[in-house]
Amino acid sequence: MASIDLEAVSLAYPIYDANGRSLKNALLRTVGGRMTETHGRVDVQALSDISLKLRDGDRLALVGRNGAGKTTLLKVLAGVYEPPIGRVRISGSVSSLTDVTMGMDIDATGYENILMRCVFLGMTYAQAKAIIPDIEEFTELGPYLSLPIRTYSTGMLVRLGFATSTASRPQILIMDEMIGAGDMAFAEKAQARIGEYVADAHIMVLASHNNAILRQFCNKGILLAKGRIEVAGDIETVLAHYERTGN
Amino acid sequence: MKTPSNSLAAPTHVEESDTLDPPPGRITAAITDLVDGAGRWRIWLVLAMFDIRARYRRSRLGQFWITLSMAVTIAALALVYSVIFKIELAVYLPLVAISFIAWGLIASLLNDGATVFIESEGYLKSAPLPKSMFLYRMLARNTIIFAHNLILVPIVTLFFGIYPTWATLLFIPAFLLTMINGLWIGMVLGPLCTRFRDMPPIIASIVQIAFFASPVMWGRSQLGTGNEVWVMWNPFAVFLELMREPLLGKVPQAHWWLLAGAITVVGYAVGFAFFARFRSRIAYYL
Repeated sequence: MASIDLEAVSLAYPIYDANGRSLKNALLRTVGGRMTETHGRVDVQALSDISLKLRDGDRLALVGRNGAGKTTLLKVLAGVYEPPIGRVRISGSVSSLTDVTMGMDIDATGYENILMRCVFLGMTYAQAKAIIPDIEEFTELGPYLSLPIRTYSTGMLVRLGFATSTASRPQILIMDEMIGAGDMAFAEKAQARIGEYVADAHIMVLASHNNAILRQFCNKGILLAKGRIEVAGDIETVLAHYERTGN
Repeated sequence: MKTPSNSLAAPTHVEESDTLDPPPGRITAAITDLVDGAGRWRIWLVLAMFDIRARYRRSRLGQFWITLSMAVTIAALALVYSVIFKIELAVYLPLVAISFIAWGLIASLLNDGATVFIESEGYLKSAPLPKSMFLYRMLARNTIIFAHNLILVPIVTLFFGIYPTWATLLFIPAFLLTMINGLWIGMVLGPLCTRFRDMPPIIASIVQIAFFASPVMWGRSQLGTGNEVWVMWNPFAVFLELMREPLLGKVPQAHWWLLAGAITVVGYAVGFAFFARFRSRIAYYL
């Protein structure tokens, strides 16, 4: 069983500009007027007092305007950010599907990239090798898999990234916008695969601006505004509120 | 009372049974990170191998360019400096070869320790991975590079008639001790250099200066009596001597082992405290 619990999580991003990153300015911080005020560091309150509880079967939609804190919350849920205030407990394997081409080496062959990505997803070398036929079949890349991926077209790259990223089945799935791309024939295949992939996850959290997709995949929702939860509840209530108050 | 599994609303009050365990302390979190990171050896080994492969991809010699360029550098240095220092080439070349190879490892542990998290930005910002995994990757990569350079040592020593002795085996603990110190160096420099982007060039300069101030190109005896103290307390020289002496078939003095032990203990005390304090901030610094 997978679960996610957040309790009163607050997170302020320290934004370091070029001055804030400089050691010289940190040492000479007392000199000059404007720098003293800002210290070259601006704190952006990205999340305030977020509490939520997710259990098996929950499909959570995150909605809100740009800058409302959706991506930051996703990163907390994925375990990338450890918030300084509040408590976080995540149990279950987490996969964050934000960038399907993450960690791909353009000079490595398709096969090497598959192996690399699968190991990243937590597989053994043997498990990774066992998954190759599935990816061969799904991507239809054939002999191209033996070539360095720098020779691939964008569409081919997406096919490979998509297939390898969805090769393992995590218990908790975190997505920033629904993935899926490629030519028409592939889009259908991809849709079928993502449907399975999502169905297999115990918990899914999806941030999106596409309300139709959210209605299709999610059963609950959270409306974020300025880093706070404004409305939480079932997907219809939240989306209705969001659509009423205007995007 | 158990909350229904589909409850989602932000709780205004939290029931007793639902309170989360207190968050693990920084120390526990840091230890967990180091242990988890080690457990993911498959990932950091693959990353380290890909680092090497990526650097020499599409070249015919591949990663043996590491060996070849080191050989050329050593030959050039030995030819020039044996004349300047008026030392016989047969004496100077093996010395400078071994010193330079050992120095290469020390210098690259420092320089790579500085950029260890910066180079892994893509991974650290999108996947929940232990930070230490990238430290191990850096150590693994440097071990592979060092192994390629080490090929030259038996060639050079045997050619000039320096044969292995039992003391040569001491190279193994000396090398391991150096790598163990590489970990705490990464724990200190990694977060520091990610936060302050001026630091990697500063580290590079310090390493460059240390190269000239350490007995890499010259021997301790050349300093003359009274001046040796500068080398005896040079932390760079410590690990250099420890790795060099066994490869020359000699037993390193106890002095170097003791100093290396002290550096390791102090280094880990500082390094661990640093890592525990700043580990969770690394993602924000990037």
